[in-house]
Amino acid sequence: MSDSKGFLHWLFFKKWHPVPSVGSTIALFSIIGVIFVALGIVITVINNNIQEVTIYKYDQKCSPVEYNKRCSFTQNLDNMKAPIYFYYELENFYQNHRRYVKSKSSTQLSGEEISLSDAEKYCDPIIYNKDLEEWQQNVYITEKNTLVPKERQPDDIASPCGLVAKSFFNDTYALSLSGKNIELNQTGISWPNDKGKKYKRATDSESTQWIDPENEHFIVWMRTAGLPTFRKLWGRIEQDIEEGEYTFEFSNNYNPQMFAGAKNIVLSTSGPFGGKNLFLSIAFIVVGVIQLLIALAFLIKKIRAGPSFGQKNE
Amino acid sequence: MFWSKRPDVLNQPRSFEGNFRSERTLEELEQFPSNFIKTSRQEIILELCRYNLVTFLPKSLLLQFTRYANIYFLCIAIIQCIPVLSTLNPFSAIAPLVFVLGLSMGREGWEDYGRHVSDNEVNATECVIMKSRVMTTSTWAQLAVGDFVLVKQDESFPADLIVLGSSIESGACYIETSSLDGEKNLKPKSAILESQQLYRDMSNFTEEKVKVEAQVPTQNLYELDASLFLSVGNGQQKKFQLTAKQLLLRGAFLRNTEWVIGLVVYTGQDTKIMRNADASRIKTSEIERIMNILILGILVVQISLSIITASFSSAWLHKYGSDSWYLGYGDFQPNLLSSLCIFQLHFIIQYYDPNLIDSQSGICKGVLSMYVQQRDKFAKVQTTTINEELGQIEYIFSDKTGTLTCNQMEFKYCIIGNTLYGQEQQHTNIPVQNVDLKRQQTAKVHPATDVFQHSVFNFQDLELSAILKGEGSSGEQPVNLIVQSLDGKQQVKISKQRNLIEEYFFLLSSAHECIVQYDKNQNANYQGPSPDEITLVDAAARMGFQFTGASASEQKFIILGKDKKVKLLKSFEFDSTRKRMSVIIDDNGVIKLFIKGADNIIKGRLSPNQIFLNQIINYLDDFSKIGLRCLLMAIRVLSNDEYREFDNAYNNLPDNDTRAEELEKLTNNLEQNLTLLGASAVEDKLQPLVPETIADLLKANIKVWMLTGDKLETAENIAKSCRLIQGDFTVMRLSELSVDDCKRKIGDIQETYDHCIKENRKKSFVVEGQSLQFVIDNEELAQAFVSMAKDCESVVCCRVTPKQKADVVRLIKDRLNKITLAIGDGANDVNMIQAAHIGVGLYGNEGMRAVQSSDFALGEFRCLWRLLLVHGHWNYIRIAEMVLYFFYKNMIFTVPQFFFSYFCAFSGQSFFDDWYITFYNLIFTALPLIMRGTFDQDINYRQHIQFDEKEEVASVQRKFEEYLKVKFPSLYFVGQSKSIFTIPNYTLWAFNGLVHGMIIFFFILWILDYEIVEDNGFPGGLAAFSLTVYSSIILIADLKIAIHTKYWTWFNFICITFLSVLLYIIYVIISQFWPGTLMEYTPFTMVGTPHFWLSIILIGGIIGGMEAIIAQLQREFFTDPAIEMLYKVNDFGQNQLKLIELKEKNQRQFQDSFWEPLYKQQQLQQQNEEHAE
Repeated sequence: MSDSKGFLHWLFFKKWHPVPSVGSTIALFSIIGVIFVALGIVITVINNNIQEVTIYKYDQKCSPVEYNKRCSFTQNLDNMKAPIYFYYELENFYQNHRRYVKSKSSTQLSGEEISLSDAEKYCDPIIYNKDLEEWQQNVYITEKNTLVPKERQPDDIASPCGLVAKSFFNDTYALSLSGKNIELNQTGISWPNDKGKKYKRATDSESTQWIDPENEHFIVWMRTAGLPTFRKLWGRIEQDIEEGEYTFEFSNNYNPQMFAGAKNIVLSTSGPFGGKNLFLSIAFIVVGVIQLLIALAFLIKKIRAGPSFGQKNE
Repeated sequence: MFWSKRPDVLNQPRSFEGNFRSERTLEELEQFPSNFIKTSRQEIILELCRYNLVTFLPKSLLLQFTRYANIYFLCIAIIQCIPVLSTLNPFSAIAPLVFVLGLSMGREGWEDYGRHVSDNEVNATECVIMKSRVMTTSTWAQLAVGDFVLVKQDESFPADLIVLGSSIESGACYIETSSLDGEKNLKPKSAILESQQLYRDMSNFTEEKVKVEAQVPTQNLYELDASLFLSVGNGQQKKFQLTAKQLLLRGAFLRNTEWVIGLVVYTGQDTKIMRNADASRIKTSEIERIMNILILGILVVQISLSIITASFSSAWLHKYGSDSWYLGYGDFQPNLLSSLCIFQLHFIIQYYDPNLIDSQSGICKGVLSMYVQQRDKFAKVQTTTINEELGQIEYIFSDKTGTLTCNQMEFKYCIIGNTLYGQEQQHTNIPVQNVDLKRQQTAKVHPATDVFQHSVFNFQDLELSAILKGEGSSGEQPVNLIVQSLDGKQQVKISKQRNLIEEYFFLLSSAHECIVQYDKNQNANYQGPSPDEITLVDAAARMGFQFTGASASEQKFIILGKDKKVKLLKSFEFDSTRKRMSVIIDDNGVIKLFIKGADNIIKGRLSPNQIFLNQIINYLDDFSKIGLRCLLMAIRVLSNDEYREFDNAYNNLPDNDTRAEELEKLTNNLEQNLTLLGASAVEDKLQPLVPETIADLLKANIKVWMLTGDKLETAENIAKSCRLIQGDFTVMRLSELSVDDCKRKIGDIQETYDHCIKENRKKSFVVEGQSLQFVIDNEELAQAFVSMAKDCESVVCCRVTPKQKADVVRLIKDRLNKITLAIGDGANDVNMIQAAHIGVGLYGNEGMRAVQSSDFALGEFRCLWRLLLVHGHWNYIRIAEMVLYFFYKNMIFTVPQFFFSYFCAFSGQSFFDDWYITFYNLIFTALPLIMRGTFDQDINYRQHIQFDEKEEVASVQRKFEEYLKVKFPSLYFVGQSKSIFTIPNYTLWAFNGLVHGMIIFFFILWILDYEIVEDNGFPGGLAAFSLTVYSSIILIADLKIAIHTKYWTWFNFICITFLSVLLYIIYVIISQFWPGTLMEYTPFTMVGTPHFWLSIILIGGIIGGMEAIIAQLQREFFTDPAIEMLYKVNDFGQNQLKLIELKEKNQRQFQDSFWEPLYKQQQLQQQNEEHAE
């Protein structure tokens, strides 16, 4: 198209009027089918290599069941390859409730001070220190998740304020095999960029904030879950573990009965596609197979009906 | 509409004085409306120019809220702004509203601007006013009541004037009012004698006051109730009553009169032309109406769903509210208030104006090719909201003159004696002119007279011209016709054919009412009351019998080069009841009565024993079959005594009301005992390709109605010549003069009709104006008429007034609820154009009124073919499918949101980030939809941009384009039967959307669940979940539209890839850094996870696969006629191409082989043979 008029004409009027044929349909289905089945098989193989252990309602394993106390139980574990991820799982906890999701101030969390009106606007109904849980009112939780007692004015704006922060999950865990402590790495458990960017310590964090926003457990908690049953990463075991009876020691602070739910512990290894996911592998295989069958059906029909199939107007 | 705002002061009888100096105070100016005319719809632009944004905005905003959808939007936006109820950022609700309103305000403003510009053109037209005896140039807009205006020949009047003086001594002047009533003939007007004496001579002008008292302006064109007070010396004034005879109408043209002086009496909105203008109405399309209902439906569904979720929510809170300490309800006490507070809007269907998408460009694209040479005008789209209705037309109402016909007559044949002349002429083709392709937009306010000719002359007959030149022998054939006066005292003997021919043409050039005009080059030009007459006079002149002028008592001719004068004794005009015209002349002492008239009238007045009658009648039968207009010419010779007797009687006619009646009797007696000389056949020239276009429209099952002011016979003739009535049609005529007769006749017609239905014959209904009025007024008749007429292939309404035209349109539109189209070119069609669903105006010779009030302006009737059958068809499909898709894409967007509410305790948490919701309809899915709505075609009859270089291939390509062109009308039913935007189809698409939405939501739910999404163990969370679902939705929305795009251009590619997907990706990147949003710092990580991609692949695979199967099954079990046609053509084309290739291959093989010389020889031989042939 040398001249500009020609080009414009070509741009406007060059057209494709695809009329799909049976042949192309068959080809499309076979290709997609094969890819899907292949992907499904790969995912299944990977899934089979992933180990996952869930310890249900671990708080019930202490006797008597008491809260705000340290407690321990034992659990048999198989051999697992590092890295092993240590999750806590809450059931029936609506972290995606509208009232809950919006009750936080991202300005405040990024380390800036907010006015009272902003606090009222974003954090309602948890605005002042006095609105917080009792244990949160006179304390400073450091980045390393240790509690330092600290006097606070009940009428100061809570920092961080809001429901999400207030309901911070504060169980802590330790794992040991026959007295030998197994280290749980609690760093690098939050989403990349969250720490230091989305959540930043205020300049005088210790005197104004009840928790350091760069505390990774806090950051993990603040990334609200999509469903009422959710897992959150608590730590990482960076060594292979052997078969044996492990002791789980934990501070039983969070009471799931208060929201008619449960709290569980999940230990899982991960593959290149993330955690164990049966649905994904099944879905890929099923969809792939169906598509191959459809392709086959069309093929058979095409062969049986002769060349005129799909082209009625010969 | 604009005169509803008229202040009461103006609605009083007026009295004013001629303003000799044209100077007036502001107060005086405000007394009457300004001559500044505006037709622009909403006055927005004016508002904008005159005032400021403060008044402009509310006005146009108010207009916008006449649309349901916008009200709905406003409500949503208001609700969203209440924090308790709102689930969203109020911005995200207001942004689309502002966007939509802004766009449609902009669009309407632009359309209005066009009107404004054309108004300005009119308003700025110059005119001459007499300012203290000096001619001063002024503009139309500046005129005011009481000004003296000088109008020259062929100019149009700037306001309604009272004629005071004219260049013609008697005070007469002629005006042409075609822009007001569509009639082309000249109307005589005259100044009253006293004022003519005063104003005839410019030097006579005095400053003495002229006073006028006039009534409130009315709509009636032929009514003026006013009186003029002229000074009669010594300060006294005399009152003269004025009638319509003194009224010069704005918009009419002055003809055949050098100049007139008029006094402005009505200006601007008061003028008759403006009072006759219907306020333009805003047209909305069927689909838009259905959409409005659907929107209401959606609103109801939304509210009920909201109530349901709210009650679920309150139930949940009842049960778990006090338990869920983390929600901070404290001591939760469920009550009514709390459940009301939780009344949240979950559904966020963001409707936006489909008209905005409904692109003008879709039609404009075709505009280039619809460029019609003759008028130098492009097709123009003036209303964009009703494009899809172009594809649903079932009835076309067409004007005749200027629309189907050119309003040009052609002298085709003449029968003189027993001989038919004129058979040798070629079929006339309109010469292809070199036209300037540049668009010419200026409205011609003063069409020059020499541009348009009423008559066309292509007549050729060698024999005839030979005879007239005095050559050849056929002129010597004996005729032996003797015409005698009744008392035998006077006789004319015509012995040879030549004499007969001379007598015949002399009759043509003498018996008429035309006026001769000379242009700058001294070419004679005839003007007259009817184009037929002009044509005949013109034809005679071209044959050598030139009429050069007439005075009250004399006619002058140049006959075959020689001057001739005859005394004109009497002349009797043509009118619709007489259907004949006669003159009495004294031709060198012989008194002859020349008469010409309709065949049935003349036939009954002939004296017995006519020697030519049988032959002529035979010819006439043939002529009327092909729609020619025939007139018979006859002669009578009067002896001096006979004439004297008649003259006496004529002079003694009583000078009172009965005069007309008496005169009628007298002439009736005179016009008897005629001797037939011959006949003429004149063709009312059709516009190019009219019969073909009508045939194709009929093929597309569109009923074509012709509405004309013409006589029944003429109308039927034209209907025949443009194939509205074909040979095998049964014609039913309704032309009765009373209601009872009408009822009886309708009964008879009903029988014929039933008979036709039984035998499956085609039928046509011809109805005359008066009967039509009964039909319109009488409910019973109307029902009977409509029930029959609706199935007639064609209906012809003749002798209808502009108002009746509109009534007929409404009759069909309201009773049958079918989509109608009206097409016309004149001001008399304006009512009809505005009454119909779609009004099409033609750039005619009769001014711009029709075009201005139309929705589509075309150059010629034949453009309807493209406009309806091609663009209408496409536009219906485009818009209908676009609306369906629109609901679909909102469905897949809303369904996940709805199901999510189950997982978030019905709390109304929005699943997606606020801005993601806003941009979904606004940006990410908008452009692909717009592009599809603009460019998609099911099939184009033009398959090739350029034909192949090889002649053989090109001819094949041309052949199947021809084939497609022939077949195209049969596709039109798609729109007519409204087969796409139907409730089942809508449900199907909505269901489709529901299923797809569920697949997207639940599959991703199960994939992500509380699973670990990454190899380093991070769990997903709400943001990750929402992003994955959203991305899948974008993918599916684009995939779906890609699958449903039948016609791909580069724009579709660009829009889907760059403007949808790429923009989305860019936005995702932006949202990574958007502080405070749900998505902040989510996308980059999420995109790195395999689960994200696996989900998208899985969803794409499933839904793509489903769509492909459905498409394949549809192809198997339902045939789309367009696709079928495409298949056929492609197969045919491929086979042909193969054949050609094979041939070439054979040729190549031959060239290298032993047989080559033989083959060449054979080829040469073939070529020679072809040449020989």
